[in-house]
Amino acid sequence: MKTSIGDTNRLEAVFASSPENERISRVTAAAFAAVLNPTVEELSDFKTAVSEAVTNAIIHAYPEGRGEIRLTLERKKNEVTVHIRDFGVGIADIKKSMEPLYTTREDQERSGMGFTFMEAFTDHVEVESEPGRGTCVSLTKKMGGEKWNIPVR
Amino acid sequence: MKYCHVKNQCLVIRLPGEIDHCQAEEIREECEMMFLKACVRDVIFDFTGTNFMDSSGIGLILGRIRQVGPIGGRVYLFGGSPSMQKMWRMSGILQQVEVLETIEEMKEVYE
Repeated sequence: MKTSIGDTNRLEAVFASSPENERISRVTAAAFAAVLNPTVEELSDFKTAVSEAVTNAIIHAYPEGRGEIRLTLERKKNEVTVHIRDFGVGIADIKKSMEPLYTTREDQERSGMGFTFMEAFTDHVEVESEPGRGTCVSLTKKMGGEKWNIPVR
Repeated sequence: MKYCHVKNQCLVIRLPGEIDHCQAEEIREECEMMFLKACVRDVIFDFTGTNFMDSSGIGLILGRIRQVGPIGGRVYLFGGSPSMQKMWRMSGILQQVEVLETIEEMKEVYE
């Protein structure tokens, strides 16, 4: 049963850049957003966007092994922002990396559609990166429409 | 085989509940094995049991298109949620595959 929810919330998690954490991070993000009563499609789109960003961090950030990834979820009313930060190699050319079909990992059968899906499935995408210092991808999405805060009895 | 079986030169891939980078790798390996073991011309991706996919799934489809294209094979997609159908449209793969709407259509491909 959902009672009226607060205007803001925040959750932070730090995890190893291990592939099994792809699932854990998108399920965590979905659970965080679920309080807004999103539609199945909204939630599915949101999970896909989070999965793209986390997978990028896992595949690209630490070519020499494992490192840390920090997932921060913030909610302001019915707008959820997720920050996915790594401390790895960084992106030299952000613009190029965001082009559809661009991939540096042809060998792994990557489609190069990651950033395209992040942009299509959220309302706002922001990328900050510094070579050698790491990358932070922030995704913002409004969910649940106008009725996000109506208590269910 | 966990995901794949071959019927009349058609590789049918019954996809798992979630397709991310890990799952896609596992499915790709199984496909490679099937291509070595059996005579495969066409490929059907069956998404009816899948509720999550990211761009790794697109990579998986593109890989199979590249594999069977040169030998005159076709790739078919069956099922898939609205989110997945959006991904197919956006990635441009719909020009290279055929979407099957019914089980009857699917049976026609491998029978």
